[in-house]
Amino acid sequence: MTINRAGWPFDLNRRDLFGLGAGALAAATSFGAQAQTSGKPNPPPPAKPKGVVVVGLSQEPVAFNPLMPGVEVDEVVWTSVFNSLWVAEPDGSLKPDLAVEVPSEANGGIAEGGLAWTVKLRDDVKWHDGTPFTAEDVKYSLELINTPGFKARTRVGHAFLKDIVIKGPHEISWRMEKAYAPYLAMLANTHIVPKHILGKAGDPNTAPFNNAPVGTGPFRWGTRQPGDNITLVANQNYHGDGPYLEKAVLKYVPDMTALYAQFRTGQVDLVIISGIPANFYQEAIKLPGRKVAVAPSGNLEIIMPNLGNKAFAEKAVRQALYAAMDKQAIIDAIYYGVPKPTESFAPRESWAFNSNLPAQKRDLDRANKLLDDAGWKRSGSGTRMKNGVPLEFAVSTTTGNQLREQCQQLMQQDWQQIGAKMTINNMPAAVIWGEFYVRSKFESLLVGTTFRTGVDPDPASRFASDAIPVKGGSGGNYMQWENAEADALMKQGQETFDQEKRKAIYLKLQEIVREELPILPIFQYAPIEGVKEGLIGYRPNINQRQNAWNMGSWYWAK
Amino acid sequence: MIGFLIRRLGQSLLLLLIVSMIGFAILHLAPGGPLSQFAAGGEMTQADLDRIAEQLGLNRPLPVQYAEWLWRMLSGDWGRSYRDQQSVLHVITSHLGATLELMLTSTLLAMVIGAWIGILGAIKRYSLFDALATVGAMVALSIPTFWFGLVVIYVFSVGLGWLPAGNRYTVGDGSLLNQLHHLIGPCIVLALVSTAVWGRYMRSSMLDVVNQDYIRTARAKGVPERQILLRHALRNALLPMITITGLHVPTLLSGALVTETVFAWPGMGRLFLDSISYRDYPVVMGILMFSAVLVLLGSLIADLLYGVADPRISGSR
Repeated sequence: MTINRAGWPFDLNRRDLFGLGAGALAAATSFGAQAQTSGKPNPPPPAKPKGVVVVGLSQEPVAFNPLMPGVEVDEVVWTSVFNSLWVAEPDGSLKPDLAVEVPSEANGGIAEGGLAWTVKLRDDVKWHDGTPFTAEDVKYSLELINTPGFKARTRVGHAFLKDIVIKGPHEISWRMEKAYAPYLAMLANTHIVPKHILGKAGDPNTAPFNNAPVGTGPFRWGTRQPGDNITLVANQNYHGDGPYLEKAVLKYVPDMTALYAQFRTGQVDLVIISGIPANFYQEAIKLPGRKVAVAPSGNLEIIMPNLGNKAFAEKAVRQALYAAMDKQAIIDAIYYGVPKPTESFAPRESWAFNSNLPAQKRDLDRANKLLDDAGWKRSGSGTRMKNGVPLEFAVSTTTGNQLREQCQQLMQQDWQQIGAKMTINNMPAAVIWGEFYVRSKFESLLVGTTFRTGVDPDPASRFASDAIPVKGGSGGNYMQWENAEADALMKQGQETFDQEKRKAIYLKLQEIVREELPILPIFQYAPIEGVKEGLIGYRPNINQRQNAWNMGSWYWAK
Repeated sequence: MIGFLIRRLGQSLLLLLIVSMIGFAILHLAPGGPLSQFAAGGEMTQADLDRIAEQLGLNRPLPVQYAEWLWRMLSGDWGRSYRDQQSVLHVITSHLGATLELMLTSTLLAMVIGAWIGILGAIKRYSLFDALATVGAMVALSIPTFWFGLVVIYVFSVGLGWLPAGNRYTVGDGSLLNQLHHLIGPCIVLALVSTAVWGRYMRSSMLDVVNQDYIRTARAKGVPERQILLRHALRNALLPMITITGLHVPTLLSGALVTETVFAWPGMGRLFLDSISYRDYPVVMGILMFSAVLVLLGSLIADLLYGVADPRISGSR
């Protein structure tokens, strides 16, 4: 049984890769808006909302206040019921949504080197209850995030806000304590909530709104049958494109095999996020009336060494381990050659991706030489030692993830050949991603994660020296990597708003990370998603956390 | 009788307190917590996670958390779910209907068929029917439920297209017929195992009775075989079944974890599994206490009914 445990999206995506045939990635390129009607031009959308789409999810959406903690499946509700000031498109550009334009230094929306922001808002937007949307709502939402006692999902970027001023019903400005370029991307994933409803609630953490949200998005909240489905209804007064569907049903099917069966029988129209189990891939691509392909993902599979460990603290050890790793064998033998190996922390599709990083190649001689030069001598048992410290460590990952367990075994064999003794110490998901992870109690991890801020390439919360929780930092630098040059670059990247200049900074940063190896990158993810033929508008988007991000513009061909 | 009831209620309350302590301790001492899932994704920073842990009160000492939970429970507040912020009682009651529908149908089906197989097996002991029933029961008990569930889906939904591949109803069509159609698959799967269990119970209970002296006496008196069976044997053989039924009551409401998962049935079993995965402490504790009360209530009712059915037991108290 393939139960998708709530909240561990990255563990099961990996399963999706199992059994994939060659050509899957090529198919992915045509897996978009054009692909649904077998080459024929798409018919125009209906004049009035028509039809129902049933979206199959293997996790249940449960968090409906978009400013509170939630995972990918919850965002399906957020992006359908709410709007943000602007949205991130598949190509990485930002498109205005509630705002009239995306502020920039060129249009004067961002001034004083990033310290002063002004945003002009649309004047034709209404909340689902008919109340007009104004700058008050934006001010309220941003202030709510920073309100002590409110369980805000994240305050990254928002914490720098000050002096939020309403300059008119549809214009707002604020100042930042420091220039922070990734804030543009953060706002693309910050949904605006209604002041006239949530502001009147005694405690916004437990307001009735949180279970019957009112937004400005293409769909209104309909009904929820806990443990089963959520029905969203077309918002006929929507300010943007669509909606063209009368209803959208988010159907929760906990077992991934059963979800695939429902996709086959036509009970669900598409399977996203956890996707289709990979052992069904070959069968799924041949299903009549269904389009199944690999969708791009920004998550990376990596080895995360804990640099607090004496052996890993040494760069030569990390480099030697990376050189001895047979990445291609892992991808070919365990993952059927589908995911592409990567050398960077940034996804291939990012505008900041550095494609010129040296490609890792298995080289045992080089690995041995690196360790010899660094003074790691082989002991009688074959395991290298230096100053009484053996080159011995554990790699931990989620229990029961068979592909990762096979991966661990391959690495164990590879590293044994250079005198590094690797042990396996796996734990259940709720255990491994608890204190063990966030308090850096691991020796090393085999993990799938991201290194960006929202859709921005800024990885400071994962790599900066002041982001190490066990050293009092506030980020997610669980590797405990400290590098002054990288810190300076990341700071510079956050303060620069010119994309070309930022790109140069992140290209350099990727070179440093590739050289220093605070993470050993293996590959970029490729989950399999399926859509019923005739559904037009589905567009995978690596810059969103889920691919129902534009459900308002979906419609049926007939 | 009243003294017995008071004594039993007192014991039950003490048991509930012990159950809650053990449950609370195990749940909270298990590594990980409700925020682990957010940490894995990398979107929330450590400061965000620490802040929310503080707001949820997860940083306080365990005895303090338990005392607060107990105090709230005693005042009728079951707490709020960490997952969807709804009150725990609301979360539980919103899943009860689905579970009750599934469990009641499958249990009734299993009891009727199981009792019939058991009685027939006992009367025709060592016959071909009895042998087949015995082997069938062993097979049914040995089949993993999730596998059988997937086979039912594969054969009847994907292959033959007779049954829906899961769900409680088609969204937009809540008609009784539609619901019954969806009920068939999970009902077959659940009833299979239960039928075997009920059949075995019934058979052994019936065998105990048919060898008693009073049955032989009845036969010697020339009472017709049918009357012996229905009036003498069956009535006595059903006595132990009352206890088993009483103990089965909690199962009716706590749901079928695996079947509900495979058939996307929005019941209590599924809720329990989801809540544990999420470490949704208030809901897990809520379900635990709910189940504990049901078990105690079920056995109490069984005891009382047993007394009603068999005056000898009632008199001995």
